Order: sequence, then C-alpha cells, then structure tokens
Amino acid sequence: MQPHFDALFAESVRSSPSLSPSSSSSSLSTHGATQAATQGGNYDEPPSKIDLRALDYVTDYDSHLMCPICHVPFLHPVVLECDHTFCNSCLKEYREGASSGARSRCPTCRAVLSSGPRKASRLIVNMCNETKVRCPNDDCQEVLPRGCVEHHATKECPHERLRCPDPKCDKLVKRRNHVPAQCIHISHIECDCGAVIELGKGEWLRHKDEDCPNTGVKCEECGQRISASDYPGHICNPDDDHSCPGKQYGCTDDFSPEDSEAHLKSCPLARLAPHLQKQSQLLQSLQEQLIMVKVRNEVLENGFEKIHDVLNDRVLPYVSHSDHSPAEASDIEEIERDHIPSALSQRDLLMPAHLGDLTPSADPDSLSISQTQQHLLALHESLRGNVSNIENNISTLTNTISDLDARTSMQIMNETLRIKEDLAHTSAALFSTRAQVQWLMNRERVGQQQQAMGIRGRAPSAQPPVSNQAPSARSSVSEGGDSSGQGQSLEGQPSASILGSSPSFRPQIRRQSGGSQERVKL
Amino acid sequence: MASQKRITKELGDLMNSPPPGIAVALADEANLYQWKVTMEGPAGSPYAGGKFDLSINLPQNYPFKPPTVVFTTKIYHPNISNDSPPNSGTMCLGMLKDSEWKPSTKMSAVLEFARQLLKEPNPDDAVETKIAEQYRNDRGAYEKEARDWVKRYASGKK
Ligand SMILES: [Zn+2]
Ligand SMILES: [Zn+2]
Ligand SMILES: [Zn+2]
Ligand SMILES: [Zn+2]
Ligand SMILES: [Zn+2]
Ligand SMILES: [Zn+2]
Ligand SMILES: [Zn+2]
Repeated sequence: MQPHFDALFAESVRSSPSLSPSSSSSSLSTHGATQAATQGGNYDEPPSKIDLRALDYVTDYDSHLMCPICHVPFLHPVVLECDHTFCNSCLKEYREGASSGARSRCPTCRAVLSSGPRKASRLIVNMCNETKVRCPNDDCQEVLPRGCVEHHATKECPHERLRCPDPKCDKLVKRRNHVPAQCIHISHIECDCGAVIELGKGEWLRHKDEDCPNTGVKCEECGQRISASDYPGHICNPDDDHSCPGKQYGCTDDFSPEDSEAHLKSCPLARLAPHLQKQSQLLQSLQEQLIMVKVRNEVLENGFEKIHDVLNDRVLPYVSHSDHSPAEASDIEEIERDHIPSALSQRDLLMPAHLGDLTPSADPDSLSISQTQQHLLALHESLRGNVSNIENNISTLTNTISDLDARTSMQIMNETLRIKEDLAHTSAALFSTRAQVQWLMNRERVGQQQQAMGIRGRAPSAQPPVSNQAPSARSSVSEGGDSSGQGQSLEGQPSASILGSSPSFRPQIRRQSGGSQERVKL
Repeated sequence: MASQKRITKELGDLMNSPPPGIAVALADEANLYQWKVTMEGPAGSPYAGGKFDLSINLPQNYPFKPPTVVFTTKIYHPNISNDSPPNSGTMCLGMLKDSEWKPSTKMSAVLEFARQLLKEPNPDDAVETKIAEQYRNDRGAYEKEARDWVKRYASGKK
C-alpha cells in the first residue's frame, strides 16, 4: 500500500504549486521544474513505463471521470477555462494535430480560450487514480488502484518478465524465477504455466503429465485432458460429448448438441477423423519402429567399423608382406595407399547389405520408413562401390603377382641356361682331360709294353718310378680341369647369387673328375 | 496508441448495447479501424423496412480526426451522395466535417445522428440538390421515389 500513498502524495504535491522543486522526491522536483517552464499550459508528466490507458479497468468507473478523448479515467487531468477537463496528454495531442484556429478552442465546446489549462483538483486526480485495474503482466491476476499499478508492475510483480541476467541469453525470466547473475535457461525450463522445472531428471514430463494446470492430466475414463486442479471435481460424461470427432484435426466449429448430427454429416473432418486417427496411430508405431531401426543401425555400423579396423590393421599387412619379396612389397603398398583410404573415408556409410532385410515391412506410403529404406539403399550402393573398389584392388594385385611370376620364371630360365652352359663347358673340359689322360695312359702302356718286350727279366725294378709318375700327372690334370671350370663360371656368372652357389659346384666337378679318373683307372 | 484503446472500448459498448436499429461489426477481424454497420430504416420514414449497409472508416489518429461514413447500399436521400464510385454513398454530416468534428464525439452518437438523418433529412446541407429540391417542393414524389429505391436496393433480398 505504501506506493499507493506515495503516488497520491505525489499527485497532491503536483497540484499545489506552493511546494518548491526542492522537495525530497526527484519526481516531485521534475514536476515543479516543468511547471515553471511551461506557463503556457502544457504540463509534462513523468514518463510511464506502462501504458495506463491500455490497462484492463475491472470496475465500471463514473463516466464523469472519463476523459472525452481517450475514454479512460483522466490521467494528469487539466481543466480549461470553459471548465472542460481532459488528460494533459490528450489535450496536447489534440492541439498538435489541430489547425491553428482550433488549437485555441476547447475540443468539446469549441469555446475560444484565452488562457492555458490549469491542473484539475486533487479530488479528481485521486478519484481517477483510485479506479481499479488489473496488472498488465501476463498471468498476474492482481487488481489494484491505478495509482500504484506502475510500481507493482515494474518493481514487485512476480510475473514481470525480466531480462535474463546472462547477457548472452536473450530469454526473459519471470521476476519470481529470477536468480541474480545466473541464467536458469541452461539447466531449467520455464513452463507456460510459470513453473520452473529442472531438466534432466524426468521432472519435465512428470510436470506436463500431472502437475501443469495448462496441459493437465488425462482422465482415465473419458480420456479428456483436465487441469490438475480441476481433476478432483471432474465428472465424466462421454454421452454429453457432442464435440466434433474432427476437433483434434482442426475442426473449430461450435454447435449445439441438437445440431451435432447435422454437423457430423457436413463436416469433412468428422468423416475423416477415423482415417486420421488410424494414420496418426500408424505414424506413431512407425516412429517407434524407426527409433528401433536407428538403434540397430548404430549397433551394426559400429560392428562394421570394428571389422573394418581389424581388416585394415591385421589382415592387409599380412597380405602385403607374406607372399612377396621386399622389393615387390613396396609396389603393393603403393597400390594400397591409393585404394584403401577411399574405403576408409566411406566407412561411415558402410553397412552390411543384408541390413535392408531388418527394416520392418511397413506401409509403403509411410514417409519415415521410405526414408530409412532410401538411406539403406544409399548405404547399399556405397557398399557396392566399396566392393568394386576391393575387386579392383584384387585385380591389380593379381596383375602384379602374374607380372612377378613372369619375372621370376624368366630369371629361373636364365639361370638354368647359364647352368646348362656351365655344364657343357665342364663336360667339354672333362672330355679334353679324359683325352689327355687316355693319351698319357696309352703312352704309359706303350712304354710298359716296350719295357716288357725289351728287358723281361728286370721288369719289376722299373715299376716304382712309373707308379710315382702316374699320381702326379693325375693331380695336375685334375687341377687344370678344376681351374678351367672355375674360370668359366666366373666369366659366365657375374650375379652374386650364383657366385654364392659356386662352391656347391666345385665339389661336384671334383667328384665328376674324380669319377672320370676312376672310370679311366678301371 | 490511445486510439486503439478508445476504439476497442467504443466498439465493445456498441456491440454489447447497440442503439435501436443499428448493428455494428468489424469488417475485418484484424482491423480495428474498419467497421461494418447495418442500419434499419427508421419507422415512420420512407426508408422503413429497408436494411442499409454502412462502411465506417476510422482514421489512425481517431478521435482527433473524424470518421468517414459511407452508405454501401444505394439510397435516395438529399444528404447522401448517389454519385458513381468513389463518391457514392458518402454522407454529408456537419459533425463529420474536419472543422466541426469534436474528439469527444462518440461513434454511437455519430450512428444515431445518421439514423436520425434518415428520418429527418436536412435539405439545407444537401449533396443531392435535386433530391433536396424535391423534398422541399414535392414531398409525396420524394417519398415514393425513396420507397422505390428501398424496394430495389435495400429490401434485404439480393
Ligand atoms: Zn484523456
Ligand atoms: Zn469546453
Ligand atoms: Zn502483477
Ligand atoms: Zn538465460
Ligand atoms: Zn506447466
Ligand atoms: Zn473423465
Ligand atoms: Zn467438425
């Protein structure tokens, strides 16, 4: 009540010019100052934050207190010479719009005025400010005298919407929910009904279903939504329900119970209602299915991704390193780098092709399902692309392998040729050795025969030097054959691999030459 | 927007307790400044039994400027123009002249004045001088013609 008295006091002070501008209240001093400045008759009134004319005046007020221009109880009334009263601002507005002739006349009686308006009596001011109005803030039901509504609405009304304290947040918050220096919109939500509910605790749904007076609770018997406060007194009477069945689908027609039959016949929405209801049920079930499909889809995608990773990390490195010598492996790695990353980038879209079978078979005209199908088809397509990529990969690999095969067999051929040549050389050398040995043997045999024929008696004494001679000749021959074979192998085979294998040839040659010597011996 | 508040209030009053023979509605729900008024011809006048549609346009700075009142139903009357559009149906009413208008005049007063004018034409302030002359000199012929027009244009059946 205090502000009310303040307002009344302010008005009373305003209407008595004897009070000087040095009065304590700042609003009073502005009155005094403007009054002194505008002797001509226009009084400036304190700027109001709320439009006092647009308020809801709850009680009928005396029509004599009504300004003839704005039809609202006078606001800062002034009286003209002719004794007609107007709001100060209404008179000002009239004069601003009027022609110069009309400006100096009374808007009501057209009397020519020689002096400016004077303030109306305190009695009228107080009576006008005493009229009851409703608080202009939404949801506030407060009814109070007009003289203090501004103070209430802008200073203490719990329903006044204030700016959120967080400068980054552009929402409004009711005064009663306003927490200084804290934005409640992040963690809380404000319902239309004014309740503030903390998010993330299921409280919101509970509020909407049970507590909220706006959405209310659903009657178990008749399915009607009633506000929670009305619920205890609620009486179900579905028989009396003459509302159009198409109401929830947009029929706004109002009709009396007698007309309901006629309306049901004429209303297209009423006839469509069963169909629409079926459709909405179907839509709901499809939405549920879609959610399930999404979950499954996610699981499968994750699984597929894992498989893909395993393939990339374990199988492919083995494939590239196991079958080929290091020189060729680098070629294959290059190919892999070209092809595998593209597969990786598509990994998000990769889906097993059989996933299409998991989509529930549903109404073909359902939009969401067809979208899922399209999505799955797209996935299928991308998978197909991937498979063809892999196929390309494999075919390049096969090409490389066959290329390598050709190269290796060429090398083997070359090597065999060289070995064959070697063998030919060796056998040629062997042949010459054999010829030499034979010649020497022949000579020896001839010599022996001559000795046998010449000196028969002392033949045994000549034998030892011959037997000494034979081994030395034999060893020199074998050495010669050996060195020639070695020389041929050196000039014919520069490759290190063949050089490495040359020691295995030497004993063979020795053995062969040895064998031939043995054969020769026999 | 002082005008809106006053117009809402006046319209509400007119709809809740309409003056006899006058029905007021908004021509367009969204536009407060365009009214549609149906006026019954006053009993005891040649217009009795007729239903006249009026279109009222309130200026944005109402009540500082007068509203315009136009009869959309053709009428044989010395104070109401039966020119071809756009002037057809405009009513010459002293109080509605820019210089005569008082901001304190209410719309209910304007409408009641208009209806009164049907009962008592004002030939001294006429727009249709021929009808005014006839009204002064040959009242019977005027009344017959007026009744004819009512039958033709304002009988309520289209
Ligand atoms: Zn006023
Ligand atoms: Zn006056
Ligand atoms: Zn309030
Ligand atoms: Zn916020
Ligand atoms: Zn709520
Ligand atoms: Zn119920
Ligand atoms: Zn319906």
